[in-house]
Amino acid sequence: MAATGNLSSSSGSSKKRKRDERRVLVDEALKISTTSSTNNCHLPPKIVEEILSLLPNKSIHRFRSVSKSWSSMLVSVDFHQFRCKSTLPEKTIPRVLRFLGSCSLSEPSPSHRFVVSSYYPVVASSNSTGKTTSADPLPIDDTKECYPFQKFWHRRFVGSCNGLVCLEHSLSKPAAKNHYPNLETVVWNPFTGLCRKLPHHVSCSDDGIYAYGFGYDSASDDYKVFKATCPDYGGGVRVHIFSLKAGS
Amino acid sequence: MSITTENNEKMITLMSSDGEEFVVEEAVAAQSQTIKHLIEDGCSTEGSIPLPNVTGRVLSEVIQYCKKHSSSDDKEEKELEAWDAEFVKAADDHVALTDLMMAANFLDIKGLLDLVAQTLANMITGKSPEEVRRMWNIKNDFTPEEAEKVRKENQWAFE
Repeated sequence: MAATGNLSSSSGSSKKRKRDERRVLVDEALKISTTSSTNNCHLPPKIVEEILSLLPNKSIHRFRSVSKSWSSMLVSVDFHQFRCKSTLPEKTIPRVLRFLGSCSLSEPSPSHRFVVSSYYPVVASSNSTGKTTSADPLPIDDTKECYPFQKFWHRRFVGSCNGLVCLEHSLSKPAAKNHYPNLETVVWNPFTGLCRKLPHHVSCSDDGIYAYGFGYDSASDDYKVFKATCPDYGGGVRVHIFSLKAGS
Repeated sequence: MSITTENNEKMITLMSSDGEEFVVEEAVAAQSQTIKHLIEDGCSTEGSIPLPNVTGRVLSEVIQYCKKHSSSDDKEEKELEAWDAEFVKAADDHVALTDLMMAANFLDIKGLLDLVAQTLANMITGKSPEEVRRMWNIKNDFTPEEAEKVRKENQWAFE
């Protein structure tokens, strides 16, 4: 009997708290309600975000020129995630990228096609043959500027997550078979064209085999690159986890 | 104020920012999550529900939408889509649509919010930054150098 009483009183107080929160919301709304509706100068960021998230890539890039606040919103991770969530059906997210063609080439080749097909379709590198499977591809010439695939002697696709792509590449010729000096690992946002280089120790390839992973950690709201190396084929395995947010 | 009609449908009075009163069925008003919560909390028994950021003109449009959407079921989806299209067409310009969207946001009516957002997005897709600034009186706060830089970075989007 006493227990029941406690239960109901606690649920009653949480209900009351909820109600108080709502009251506050309504009170705030009352305070900001004085804006005239026809002379509508102030667009709340939430409204702007809702509208802009529905635009195609080209408009989004163009509208970075509207104002500083639009520009910073349009390149923010939050906006990107909001756009992913609101426009992508849940189940397609893990399959955001499909890779056509080989990812690693022995020399820079302009005829190599590197197709990343996704909801934000990206065609990187140029080609005279092959079909574009994406529904709304960026024109090939445009993406060359986003990520200069041709520059690299070696490119390796690490992984993709929420439309971000993790790649490994090298500007140098191979020193030995399948061994490229000066490897770099980058996280590339095809959507904004921004490319972030990870610190050297993430990329440096010790002799031996290594494996990569790239993913999103919802617990810390962070993207992480995972790398396991096995320096001497049989010794221990070393694991590095790089956090994009912490930068280490 | 809650009145009951002959068919036992509970009625709710909504009051716009400019003092106009609208008496609607509770089921219609409850399409708005905000109003629904207010009703649950018993606010509707204390008199009419004030909606401080929604004018009478906008509120009547919102109610029109809610009425249509509370009376239709899934079978009529096609018809409802056509109705929606006509509904946003009738709002005719971006100022009216923006007002409608702000109201949908405040009242938390997801269907209406999505509908109007999509209409506005379609409207601005092909526009230039200058046209968009004019639409919503947005101030261009870039210095000439910054403007040039951002434009250069996104040059392809202007072609």
